[in-house]
Parts: sequence; structure tokens; C-alpha cells
Amino acid sequence: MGSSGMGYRIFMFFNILIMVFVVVIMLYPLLHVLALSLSSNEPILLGQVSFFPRGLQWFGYKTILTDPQFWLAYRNTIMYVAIGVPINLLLTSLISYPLAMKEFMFRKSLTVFLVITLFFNGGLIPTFLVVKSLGLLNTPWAIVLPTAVSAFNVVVYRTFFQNIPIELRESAFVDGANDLVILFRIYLPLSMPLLATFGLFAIVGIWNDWFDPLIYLNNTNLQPIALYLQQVVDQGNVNLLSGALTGSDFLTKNPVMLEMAAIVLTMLPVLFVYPFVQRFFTKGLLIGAVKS
Amino acid sequence: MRGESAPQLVSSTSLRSYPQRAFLRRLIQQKWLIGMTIPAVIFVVLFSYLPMVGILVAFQNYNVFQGVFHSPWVGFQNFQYFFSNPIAWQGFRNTLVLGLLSLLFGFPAPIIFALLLNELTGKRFRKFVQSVSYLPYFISVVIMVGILKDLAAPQGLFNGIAHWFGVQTIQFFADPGWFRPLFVGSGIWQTLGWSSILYLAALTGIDPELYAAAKIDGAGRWKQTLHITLPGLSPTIMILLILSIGSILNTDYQKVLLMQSPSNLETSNVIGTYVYQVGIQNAQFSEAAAIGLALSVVAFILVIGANWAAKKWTEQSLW
Repeated sequence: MGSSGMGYRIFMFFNILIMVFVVVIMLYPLLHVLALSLSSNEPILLGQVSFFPRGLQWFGYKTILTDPQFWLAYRNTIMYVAIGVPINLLLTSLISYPLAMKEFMFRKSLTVFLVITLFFNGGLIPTFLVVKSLGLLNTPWAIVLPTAVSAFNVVVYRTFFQNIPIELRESAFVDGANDLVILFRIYLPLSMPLLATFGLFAIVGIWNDWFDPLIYLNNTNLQPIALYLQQVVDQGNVNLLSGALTGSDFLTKNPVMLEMAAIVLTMLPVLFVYPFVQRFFTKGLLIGAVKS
Repeated sequence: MRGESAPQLVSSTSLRSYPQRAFLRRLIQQKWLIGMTIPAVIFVVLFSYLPMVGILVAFQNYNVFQGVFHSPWVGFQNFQYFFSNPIAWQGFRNTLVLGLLSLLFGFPAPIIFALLLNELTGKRFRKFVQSVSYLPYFISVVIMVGILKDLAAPQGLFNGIAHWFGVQTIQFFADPGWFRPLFVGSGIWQTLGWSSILYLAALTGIDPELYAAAKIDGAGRWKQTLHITLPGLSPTIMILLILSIGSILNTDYQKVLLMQSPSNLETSNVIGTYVYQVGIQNAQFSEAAAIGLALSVVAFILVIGANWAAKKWTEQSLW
């Protein structure tokens, strides 16, 4: 009765309106960036560009894609992902497996040892000094190693492993397998959704990481794409611009084109993996673990 | 084989009289399990526990060449530097105000969003809205601030709206008064959908029979929300509220750093960026570590306080 009244229908109308508004707000900035990256100077300056490009041009993309520094940064980021993600998945799997086993003698103490790191950390400066004194400054390891093991991830993995029937492990023991073999032959193949989700999260994490490279890497040959992007966005990248612009070009070209093209090119891979990530977390994999 | 013979070994009488030997035997029995934990444990010691010890530099006059173990001790001198420094005080005030504003506007937003989303009847539309709302969470902070700067530019969307209302062009990023709204607003844009996940999960956990019973009793939609949905959500809300209050001072200083300009420092100078400036840029490690530690201590007191208050008034707590 109450659910079909006039008041309810008015509410539903406004509710749908609000949701459409939310969708527009979430998507507008991204579509706007794409439109700007393809628009020509006059519409940009007059603020006429919103969802669709006006006066198509490719100057931004051409300039960025012919900049050797861009390709170097892209290659570096891919390298950090290629080193970092396997380390992350391997170490987390290795420590989570014993913690999922009831008879493991250090189960309690190791759990406490890990949970403490969720509540306390040394902070920016002490962490920086540790990375520095280990001799990791200006090496890819400074980006990859400090964030490789997270207590939160271990808790999620452990919960996942606990739901794998223990009989599988017991029968593997009978066949003479040890725990390391069981992890790789039985547990990890059964944990593909878990590894895929956390693998994708780790990729996005390293891809978007900007601050760690800023403080740990001084060498421009090591800089990742996020740092390259920040320089283009922040300083309009003077060198790049002065190289690309000549004479009367200032009338038809705009640094905004460069910035937006760089943003699109950096964002693309993340947007590409997004549908895969979100398919997994809507399945409730993470939520179940957070609750515990 | 090993799995089957283990219980017999443990229960034999000789072991009960030699606890050390029993311990050793378990150690050998579980050598694989123990060995598997070692790499990660080394990482956690190096990158989580060593920095906790490294916080000692806050009480030293740290010198790169002498290291943490040989640098001279100076007691609380570095903290005096902090407390007598007006810029540090400004940073502390700004950190607190920014955290409170983020809590005030950022905390209720995902709850309201989850409730509204829950009322949608079209499953497809609902899924679509959900998927779109998670997306900004995966956009990097550099890209987000880059887009924000563009939207706030003289010819950008924000000034377009301002002109429409007859307001003159605003220099958003040069104006200290606009830093906080931009920071909090973009924060909500980025986390609205993502933060609603936990509430949506709690909503699906509410027993549907409660709604059926309420309908029989003649309760309308609004009454159902008030008497069933909200009480069902309240444990989740309380836990997340305690966590958010505890992290009021954990400003997203990376975003602040990207949004900072010399002309908006009055509101955008926060402890996080000040630590970066003093410690990383000027290499005054001890002073910066002291500032960071002082903030952590206050933040820790906040968590304890929030948890205590929650326990006292609502019987919900983290521990």
C-alpha cells in the first residue's frame, strides 16, 4: 500500500534523477579530459569544450608520443609492475598459507605481529631513512619492496585459504607432498579469482604511485609515468613545449592539449583493467574478508 | 604420512615430561610452514618495524654519516622546535580543520548514497550506477588534481557556473578560501562509490522477513527505512565512524602537495606537507621526524578517545 503512494512515486522520481546526476558527475571529468585533448585552441580558450571535442586536432598526442622521455617513463612503470606484482603475490601467498592452518604453532603470534603494522607505522621520515640506509635510493627496488607485504592483504588471503577444504591438503600429505608443493599445486590454482583481484590492485597501485618515486628516485632515467605526467601537468613541461612550439604556433596550440593527451595516455591502461577489477570486488570477495 | 602420525607423537607420555623436546619436535614438524613465513616476515621487519625503531631520530640530532645508532641524543629539543614554530602550528590547525571538514561532509555522503541506491528497483540501472561510482577511486591523484585544475581554470567549468550566476572569474587555486572546498569535494568525488561498498554489503545482510513483517503491520517505505534499515546499518556506521575519527589527522598529504601553491599556503600548509618539506626537501630529518611523531601521538589519542566514547554510548567498539 505504502509503496505505491504518491509520495513514494515522487521520491522515486527524484531518486532516479539524483542517480543520473551522480553518474554525470562521475563521468563528466573523464569525458571532458578526452574532449579537451582532441580540441583545437580557440574552443579551449573560449571554454566551449564539454563532452565532445571541437575542431579536431592531434597535436597533443603527436607531441607526447614523439617524446622519448614519455616512452622511457612508460617502460619504467611497466618494469616496476613486472617486478613488483609477482613479489607482492608470492610473498603474501607464502605467509598467508601457514596462517590459515589451525595447527601452525606461530599462528597467533604472527597474526599479532602483522596486525600491529595496521595501527602503527614509523611515518614518512623514518621509512625514508630505512630505504636510504638499505641503499635502495635511486633503484627500482625502492618503489617495489617497501609496499610488497601488506597486513590487510594477508588477512584477506588467509580467509580465502581457510575456505579451501582441508581434505585436499590432507590427501596430498598422504601422497607425500610438503606444504610448499601443496600451496603451489593445490591452493594457488584454486585461488585464481583472489590472485587476479589482488594482482590487478597491485598493478593499479604501482601504476598510480607518484609520491614514492618523487622521494626515492632522483634519476630522470628511472622516473615512472606518474612522475612524468605530474611534470607535464604541473609545469606545462616547458622543455617539451618550447621544442614543439615554433613561432606562430602559439596562436593555434595550447599546453592544455599536451596535459590532457598525457592524462589520457596514462589513464588508458587503468580504465582498460577497471572492468576486470570491478567484476571481482562486486562478488563480495573483499567484503567477506573485511568483516572478519 | 606425516599428517597422520603427528597426533600420536604429541600424545605420547615422554613428550609431556619434556616440553622443550616437544617444542623442538613441532618446530621440525612444521618446518615447511615456518619457512614459508620467513620472506614476508623479513620484509615486515625491514619496512614496518625498522621505521618504528627509526622514530628515535626524533630525539636525536640525526646525522647521515653517524646513523641512528651513533647520532647524538638531544631529548625533546626537536619537539621544542616544533612547538615554538608558527608555521608548524598553522600546519597543525589546517590539518585538524581539513580532517574535520572531510569527516563532516565525506562521512555521511556514502551512507546516503548507499541508502538511495538501495531504493532503486531497476537492477540493471542500479548495477550501472554502482560500477560508474567506483571508477574515480582508481584514478591516480596526479590525474585527479590535473583534471581539477583544468575545471577550476578561468575558462573551465567551475568559472562557467560562476559566470552563469553573475559572479566574476575566480582564481580557485590561488585563493586560500577555495582550497578546502576543492579538497573535500574532490575527495567525495573519488571515494563516494568505493566507501559505499561496505554499507551496501550491510544492507543486503538485513533479514528480508523484517521488511515483510513491517509491511503487514502497515509501515510505509519511510518508516521501514527509519525502523529497520537504519538500525541494521548502525553497527557498520559506528565502526567506520570510529575509524574515520581516528584518522582525522591522516590527511592525504600527497593530494595536498599537488594542490598547493604559494598563494594558498595559508590553508593548504598541513603537517604532512610540512614534514615533506622539512625532512625530504631540506634534509632536516630529526626535526621532521619529531613533527610527524607529535602528530601520530595526537592521532593515537583520538582513536582511543573515539573508541572509548563509542563503547560508552553505543556499545559498539573496535576492541
